[in-house]
Amino acid sequence: MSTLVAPAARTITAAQAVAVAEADALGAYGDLSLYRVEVTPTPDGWRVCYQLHQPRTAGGGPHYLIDTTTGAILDKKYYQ
Amino acid sequence: MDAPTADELRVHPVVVAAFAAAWADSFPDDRALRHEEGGYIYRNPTSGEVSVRRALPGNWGSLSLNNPPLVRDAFLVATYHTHPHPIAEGFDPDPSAHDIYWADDSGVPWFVVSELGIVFVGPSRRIGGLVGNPGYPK
Repeated sequence: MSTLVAPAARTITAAQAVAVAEADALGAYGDLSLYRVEVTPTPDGWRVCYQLHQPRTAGGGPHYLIDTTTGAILDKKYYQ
Repeated sequence: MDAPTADELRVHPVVVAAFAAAWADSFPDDRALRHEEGGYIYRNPTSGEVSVRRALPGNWGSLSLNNPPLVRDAFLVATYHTHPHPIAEGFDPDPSAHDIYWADDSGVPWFVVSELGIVFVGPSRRIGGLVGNPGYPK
């Protein structure tokens, strides 16, 4: 006999995930106006990436993995 | 004359001095003033002279290398920029995906100066040699 376990509900919306990421990113980077935010649902959580969009520009922005049920930051990378 | 390789450029005295100046001007030890700096490296195909031009100062996490100035009788052979934010504050000192993409796209090596030293991404030397467009070859 097997027991079916319902998958955890996704209680954090994309907008809420971005808000969590932004709060951290502002503390680390200050100004985020040069970045475009990309939000992607993944099996591990919301992937929130701040991407530069200017051509031939060196640099990078913060990237996050946000838990879809708690909104906790599971992983983050500060690129430069 | 062939375009110099990244390995040749990284030990050239003019380039070494440019890396050091950019690093100092990035204020890596001052969180309030810290920002990216960098510029462009050129070679004159007749004399072999290597020269540099600074880009306008960047900001906290980026630096535009989109407009290399023309240097008379010389070709752009590389760019350089700093990653002044420290590992101790959670920053990655390595070249970003953005750095790698645009270095490959540009056709010249892109040097990155960080607390770990100096690395480059992109081609190992200017694509196509010292001919054609004196700025980016692609």
